[in-house]
Amino acid sequence: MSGMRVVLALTLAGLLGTVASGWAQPPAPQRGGTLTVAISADPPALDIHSTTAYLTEIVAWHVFEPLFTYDKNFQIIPMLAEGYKVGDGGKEYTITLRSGVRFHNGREMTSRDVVASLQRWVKMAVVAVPFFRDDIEAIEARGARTVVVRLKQPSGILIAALAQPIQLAGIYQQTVADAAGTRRITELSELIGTGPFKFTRWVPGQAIELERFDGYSARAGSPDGYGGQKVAYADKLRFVIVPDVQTRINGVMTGQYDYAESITPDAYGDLRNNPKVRTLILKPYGQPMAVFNKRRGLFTDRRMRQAFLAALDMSKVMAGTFGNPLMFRVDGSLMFKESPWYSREGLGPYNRRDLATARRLLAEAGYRGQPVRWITSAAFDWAYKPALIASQQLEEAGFNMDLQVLDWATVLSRRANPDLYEVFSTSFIFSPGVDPPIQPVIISPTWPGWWTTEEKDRLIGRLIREPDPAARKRLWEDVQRLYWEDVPGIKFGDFFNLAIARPGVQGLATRPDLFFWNVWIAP
Amino acid sequence: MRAYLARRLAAMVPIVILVGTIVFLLIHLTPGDPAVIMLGPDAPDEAVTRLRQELGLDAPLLTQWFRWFQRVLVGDLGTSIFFGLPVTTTIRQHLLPTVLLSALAISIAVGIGVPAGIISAVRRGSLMDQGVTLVAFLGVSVPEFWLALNLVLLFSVYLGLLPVAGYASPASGLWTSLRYLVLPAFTMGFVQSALIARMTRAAMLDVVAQDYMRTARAKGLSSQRVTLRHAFPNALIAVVTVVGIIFSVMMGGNVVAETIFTIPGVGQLLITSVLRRDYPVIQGIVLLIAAAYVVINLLVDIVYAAVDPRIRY
Amino acid sequence: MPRIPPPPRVAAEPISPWRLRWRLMLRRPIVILGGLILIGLFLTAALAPMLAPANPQRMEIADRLRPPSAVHPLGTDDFGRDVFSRVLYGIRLSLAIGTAVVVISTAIGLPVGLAAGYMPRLDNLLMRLMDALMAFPAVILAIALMAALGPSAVNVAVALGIVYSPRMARIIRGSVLVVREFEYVTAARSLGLSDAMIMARHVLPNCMSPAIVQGTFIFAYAVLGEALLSFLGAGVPPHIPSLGTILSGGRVYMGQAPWITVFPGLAIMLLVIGLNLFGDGLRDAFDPRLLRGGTA
Repeated sequence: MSGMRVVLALTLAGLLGTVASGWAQPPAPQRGGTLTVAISADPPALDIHSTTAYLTEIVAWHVFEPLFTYDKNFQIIPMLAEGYKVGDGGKEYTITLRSGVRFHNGREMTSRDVVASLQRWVKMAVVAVPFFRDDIEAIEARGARTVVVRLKQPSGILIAALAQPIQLAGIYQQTVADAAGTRRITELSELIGTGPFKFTRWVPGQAIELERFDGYSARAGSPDGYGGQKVAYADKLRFVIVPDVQTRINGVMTGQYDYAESITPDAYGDLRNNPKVRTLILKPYGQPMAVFNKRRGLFTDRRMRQAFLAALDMSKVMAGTFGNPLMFRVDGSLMFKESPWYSREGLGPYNRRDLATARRLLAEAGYRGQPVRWITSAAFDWAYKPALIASQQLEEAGFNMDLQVLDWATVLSRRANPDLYEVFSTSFIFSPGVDPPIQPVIISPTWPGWWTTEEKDRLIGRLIREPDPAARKRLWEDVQRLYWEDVPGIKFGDFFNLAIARPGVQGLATRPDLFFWNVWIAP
Repeated sequence: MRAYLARRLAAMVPIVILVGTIVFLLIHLTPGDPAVIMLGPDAPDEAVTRLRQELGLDAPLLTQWFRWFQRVLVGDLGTSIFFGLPVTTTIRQHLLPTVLLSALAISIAVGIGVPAGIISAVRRGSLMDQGVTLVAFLGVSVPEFWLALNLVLLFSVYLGLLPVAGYASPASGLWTSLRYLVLPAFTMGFVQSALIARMTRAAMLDVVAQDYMRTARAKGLSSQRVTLRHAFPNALIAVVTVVGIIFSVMMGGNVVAETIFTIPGVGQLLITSVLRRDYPVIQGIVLLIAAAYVVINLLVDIVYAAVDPRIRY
Repeated sequence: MPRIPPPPRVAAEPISPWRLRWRLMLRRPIVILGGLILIGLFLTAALAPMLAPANPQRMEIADRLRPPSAVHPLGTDDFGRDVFSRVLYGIRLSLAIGTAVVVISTAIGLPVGLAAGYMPRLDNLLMRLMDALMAFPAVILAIALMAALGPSAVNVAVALGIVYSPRMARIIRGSVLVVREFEYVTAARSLGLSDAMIMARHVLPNCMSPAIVQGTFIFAYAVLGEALLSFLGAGVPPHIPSLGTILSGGRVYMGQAPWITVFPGLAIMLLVIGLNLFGDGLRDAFDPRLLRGGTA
């Protein structure tokens, strides 16, 4: 009898175990429904070639796809391409395309579409491409499935540029790309791509609506970062424009929106405990920065800049700006921790809060209390709050601060004029696979701030041409060391972006660039 | 009468042009370059210069003004720098929400304010009068945006009765559309109703003291008849003036309500266009508002003439 | 013999219109209430440096978002600044800006209204200009001016002063139109006095009452207007404590730290209620029908 009982018990246990494990498995993806995403402003365009705007990118890349993209480790993987080969000492790139990829109108994508799109994109792109645009000899089709790019000089950054999400090198139809030239396309009927969703409606100021493209040619395999297999579970995708952050938060709490982006990091503490929302920390995201006017005025003197740095307590600046410690990192590396370029070399002068040194340097530089004009804007917390907090710390060190809080458009226009400021606020936003030399905010001599030293120019010049990754990393570390000695600008730390969603939304990634394929709504 | 109308409409043109020119000067002299904003802060200089040329921003100011003036005369308001769409299209897409919101708000304001003002005047000194006066006081004293924030907290977040924000066009159902407009309309309407109530009360009291009112009462007319047939129509003039002003103010797009409740109306468009330095849109909207204001003023004057037989143009 | 009633008593001397107004004012409780509120707020504003327990700009990051306590009677904001001190200075700034706006709008509106009312040839032109100005959505004009001039308390006052000047001009003009027909003005004209003299000595003093009343209302609009502009980010720079900037900064924290938004809102309401009470009372007191004597 007891033997039977044992068997019965075991069977029961086995049954329960199976049932329990079935419950423990994540719910299977459901097709259907409309996903409503609240975004913070109007995208200036849906023509993804025409602008670097983040909002254009995250809306339009559901419609347009690039040849290459980034996987979950921010390594480059093919998307519309099958693969590529580099020949002729880095001067010839042969890219093979996938077959059977269809546009939303049913046409199959060919190399001619790719060539026309790339030619248009190359003319319009403002990030990365200017470094090699003049080197491009030709972009040609070789048969229906191959595209060749020939350069006059080798470039290490062509594929990275083709993969970058900002101002995506999306593939358009040849007729559209050729006809449009560099004119911005505003007709939805022309904004036809190969992506899992297609545009259906655009009401500026209100909403952008997309619906699933049933003929989408998905890559085999599983989702991987920004690439891999993309499935459009939702029937419709609706981006609503909600400029006010409190309204975005309230909307998710009441279920009016399924997802809201760009939430004030400070709200994290409160939202984390709210059962009606799920918080998502998107890392990495950005770095708040202050850049010095090195062409004219007080900060042409390196000692002044070093004094400024010495006076700062970065932990306080970051904590006061972003609130919860989970939303930021106090880290002086110019490249993010998640990037292969991360390094802790040369970070000595960062976050020292040494008032004695600061005062000594000010005295050595002969500072007599002239006002330090810092132009910033209240439009962005990451611009305004660090400026305010740092100003108090700097006054304690003996600086005479003149904080000017203007609207963003005015800041952009003033910072090009070296007579109008000593410091301005800006930020450096993470972009995957970013190659340090192509980041103007830190490096370029012509970008406002005007960092021009021989040593920096020499190092960067070598960095652009150097093919060996290990050697490049070492060169970069030298640049970083130089940065914290010469202090062309101040990086305050790293911060993350906060987004919120209704608990029923599944499949969301916490990557810095948002996307809504592979996302579904649980019943 | 017809001659008067013609004169007034003719006067409209120089006023509108004047307003447009003032705005033109103001925004062009403001720092901030729309091309830089469009292309992003990292754009190379030649891209910015190219875009400025395309937009016609590199011409001298007088030339730019003249081009604008010529186009306005034929009704062409230009192209939005930000959207790339014609200004008329952009404004048109934002117009309906503002009109709906204003109409609803004015209905609430008049619907509450006028009866409250009449009752308050007729029962002067009573508890009702004092109550109305008190509430009206609070109404004109409260900062509208503060009221809006708290109403949202109460009705949307805590009670969950109404949507937090947003807009649904009447095409997707009248009831749905109303649900989105109730809170913002009420916020605007309540504050204006306080003003209207006070004006109505004051106008009624003015009229009640007049000699002809004493005559009417002496003739033995019932008090209610006296009120409705004699007092109110004469008070109407003052009320109509206020309502006219308020409506034209609302036509400017109530920036506060549209911002907090995310109504994609003309007011919100104007603010964001100022921030983006989208000159053509800014000028287009201001022209529209100025024209609306002048037309409404004219309508108010016509109503005057209809109501008061003494007024003749 | 029928009894003849005694002759009526005659006052020993005439009462000047100003003293009469003063007495009428004091008889009305709402004027007194409004006046007391205003006096209280003005005193608070004047004494702010002494009343404030902390420097309103002093940031203590470690103390951010603390609820009201003994050390911080109204709590701290997101920079660790003392809210009570900031509200005190905010009231001070609002009163200062309000006063400046009244001065500026009167400085513009008074001459325009006088000229328009007294000289019919200028009337049309000036009033159409005022119309054009009023056709401007006030907020937009202010924002554009702020973007052009840069954010500062002075520029806010200038922008709002310009925006509200048509209201003053209209009131003055209306008043002038009435006074112009008074007998002593006609008499002065027939005596050959110049227009300017007449305007200055006879017309102007009689327009003062409506001007003062309108002034209190413009003050109230200015307080609300500054709060709105600062709330929208187009007013006083955000680190300067004004009732609007405190509200604006505290908005995102309404859930976590409601004390940041509640108190400035109440302060604005109190100030505007005081102004409206006082203004209403003044308007009733200065009612010309009451001054004419006889039965009201």
